[in-house]
Amino acid sequence: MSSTFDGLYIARSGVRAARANLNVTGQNITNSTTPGYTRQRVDQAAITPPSGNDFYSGKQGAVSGLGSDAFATSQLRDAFLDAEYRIQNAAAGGSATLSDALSSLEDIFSYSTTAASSTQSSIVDVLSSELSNLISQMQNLTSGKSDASESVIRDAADQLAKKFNAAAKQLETAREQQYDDLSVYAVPDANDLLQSIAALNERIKSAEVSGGTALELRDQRNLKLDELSQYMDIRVEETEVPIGSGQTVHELHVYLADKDGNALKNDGDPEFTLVSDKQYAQVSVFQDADGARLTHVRLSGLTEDGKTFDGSNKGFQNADLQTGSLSSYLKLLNENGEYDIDTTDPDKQTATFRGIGYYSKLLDTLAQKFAETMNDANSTDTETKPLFTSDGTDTTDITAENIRLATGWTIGQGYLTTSKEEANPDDSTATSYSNITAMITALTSEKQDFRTPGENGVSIFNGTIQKAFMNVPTSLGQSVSSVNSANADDVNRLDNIDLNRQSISSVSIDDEAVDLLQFNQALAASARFMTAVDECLQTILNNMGLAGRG
Amino acid sequence: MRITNQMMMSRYKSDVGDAFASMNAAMRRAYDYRAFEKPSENPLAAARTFQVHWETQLNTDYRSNVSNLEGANTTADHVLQQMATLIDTAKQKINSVVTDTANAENRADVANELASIRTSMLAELNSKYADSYLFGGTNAGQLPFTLDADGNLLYRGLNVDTGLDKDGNQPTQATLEELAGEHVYVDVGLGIGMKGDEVDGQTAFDSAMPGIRYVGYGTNDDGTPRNVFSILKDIEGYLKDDDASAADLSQRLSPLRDALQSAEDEFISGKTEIGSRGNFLEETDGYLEAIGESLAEKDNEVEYVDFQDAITDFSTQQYAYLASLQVGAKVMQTSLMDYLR
Repeated sequence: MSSTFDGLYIARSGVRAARANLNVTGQNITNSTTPGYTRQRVDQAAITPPSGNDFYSGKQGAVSGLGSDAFATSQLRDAFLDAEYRIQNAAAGGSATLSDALSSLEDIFSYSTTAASSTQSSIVDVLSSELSNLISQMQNLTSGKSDASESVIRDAADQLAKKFNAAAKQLETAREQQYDDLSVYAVPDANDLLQSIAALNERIKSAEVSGGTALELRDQRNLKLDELSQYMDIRVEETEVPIGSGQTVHELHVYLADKDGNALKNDGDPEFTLVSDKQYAQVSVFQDADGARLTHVRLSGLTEDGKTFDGSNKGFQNADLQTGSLSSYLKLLNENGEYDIDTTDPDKQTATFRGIGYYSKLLDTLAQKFAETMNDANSTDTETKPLFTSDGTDTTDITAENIRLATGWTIGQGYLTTSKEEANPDDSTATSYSNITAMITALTSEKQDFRTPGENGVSIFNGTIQKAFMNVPTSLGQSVSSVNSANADDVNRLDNIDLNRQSISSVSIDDEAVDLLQFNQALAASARFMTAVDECLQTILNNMGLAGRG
Repeated sequence: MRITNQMMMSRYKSDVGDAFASMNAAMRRAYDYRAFEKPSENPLAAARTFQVHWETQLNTDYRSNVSNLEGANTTADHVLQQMATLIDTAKQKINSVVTDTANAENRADVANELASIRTSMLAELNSKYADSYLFGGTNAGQLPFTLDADGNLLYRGLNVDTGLDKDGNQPTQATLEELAGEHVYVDVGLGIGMKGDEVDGQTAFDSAMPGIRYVGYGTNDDGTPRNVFSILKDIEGYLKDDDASAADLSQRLSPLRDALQSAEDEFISGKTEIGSRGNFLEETDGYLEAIGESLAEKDNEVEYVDFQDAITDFSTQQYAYLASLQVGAKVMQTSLMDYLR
């Protein structure tokens, strides 16, 4: 049997629940545009009537529940979609980094310009157009054009060498830029995020210990986890930890994962812990510098005291990063495509990513082959007369950065071998240009095999020098085009996952407006019920038993 | 699927962004008509464009080569025409004195005239075009024809009759015959190729005009020279001989006059060869011009878009962008809140 004032308690619980709901609705509305905010709802349940024992209390008859209990506030969030989002965010972050970096290289090799003779702008392939200019000057000499001369050819050759030097320097600058981006922006940002996540873990845990839910702090932490995921693949796990008297709190762990989002394991346990409750790892950048030239960059992740969580000092290594922006920086800085193949090493049988180093080395190969071809053409059986050198005289170790005209050529006329035919003594100034024609033919018609250095080098291009020059902007364009479209796909997929996530977690003003009406009415109804109970009690207390009294 | 304001906002933002980017790209095409700005936008078209640019530059080089060669060839043709006139004049002069009526004084006059004709011939043979000696064969930088102390003609240091050098020795590297057969190959877009270390003659234009190929060199079996200049010099010598009777002179001059006739025939055939080279160059120029036009057309196809397409595309994109803005203005403002009192 219910007690006298049960009705009032029921009405009060209704008012309370409606007000709790109204407050949460208000919280949702005011945060509808807050980044990372997750829609909240009141967990509400009907209170069951107290169960009695029929044996002692007799039959209870019709009993009602004791109203409504708004016992908690929770978030509408799907952990599976979060994991999906983070896997995809790593892929998108990685392809965005590649796309930005490689796109910036394109201008080194080709640009649009409007020639003086034209009204339309046209695309110029830098190296080929210099080669083309050199060949034009040589052609002019062979056909006896009045302003053709050896010095004009020499100027054109010098321009080509300088274009090689400039392109090599620009690639080096691009490389340094990427290193700066990695070491000054990306790594410190990732480290800040790791630290913030650990700090939020601590705050959330202490809120939970004191019985709170810390939903807003969780939103902040999820936002940080999302941001962190663009740098590397992460796996996020939450465990429940007992704190005594039957109470539990949540602890959050972040592990380095593979590209499918599974934690990298060693003996069944996660191998690299990035965040464990309030502890966190930090990423460090190491570079092997060879003089001023940046050769290799390594990343390692360890806790603040230089140890991993298990006490060893083995941080994760470059190869442990599969996708994400950090891994892309490493690819750009460390990998050289076909140049990394070593046919004698079973682990190095396939080409790596064509990073910035690939293009530097490709330019070196072109510069060497070009110099070799021209030097051979200019030398005779009896005399070695190089046209291009690395330092003015030396023809070994020519690179795109150091290629320059031979000193012998810069200081005098008649250095260029115009003909290899022997002349009579009184006919010593033979000016046949047969050798110039041979040089032109060697540059434009003779197919050569361009190989990576060393005895075990592999072929990277087979064709004329002219085609090899032209191949640089074209193959770079191809690479940029494919990373751009990979990035577009990644971003598209990420957007779709995010939409799915938002569909569950973000605030709809229309929904909230309906809730406002509904809870407002619920509150009014509960209040009305309270009035009814009050009237009911009024009747019982004041008016009952007065029937028949005058 | 539950749709929320935030979803609509973010989707709308990205859609409007896309529409704006498309409009921007279309606008760019509407003023520069370029099919792509960077190779990455269309790697295949970029590769084709680079190749077309390269071929266009080569074509320009070839046409410049052909134009230079045509200039030299036309000048050479003029010079040889002058030479033909000189030879003809010399023949007439010689005919005029090989008669019974011609006296010693007449002969001396003709001898003097022949000397002056030879001087003119020497000057013609050393003609230049654009700083190069036309008839120097592979050596266009050095005066090809000179005279030794005795007035004998030398071609690049070798006596045109004996083929010996100034010290009376056999030449060490090239004989007259070899000098006469020299080639100077110029690439005029015939797909130049090499045979070993040398240019394949079939694939290039031979611009060499070694002077002795036209005016002759060496001697006949009877010892008479084959070179026009030397023949005239010998005739001149006989004409200066006052004692010879008309009959004697006629007999002595007979082999030389025969030699002069053969030399003239050779000369005319050489001159015709120069003429046909001129025709070849003219045809080649026409051919290269046609290729140039087709390359320009090809460039237009791969590197540029049609004017009409560019403008139409821009208008369409602009329309799409404006439409998306209008839709946004209508959709974004309203929610249930706007209808509640």
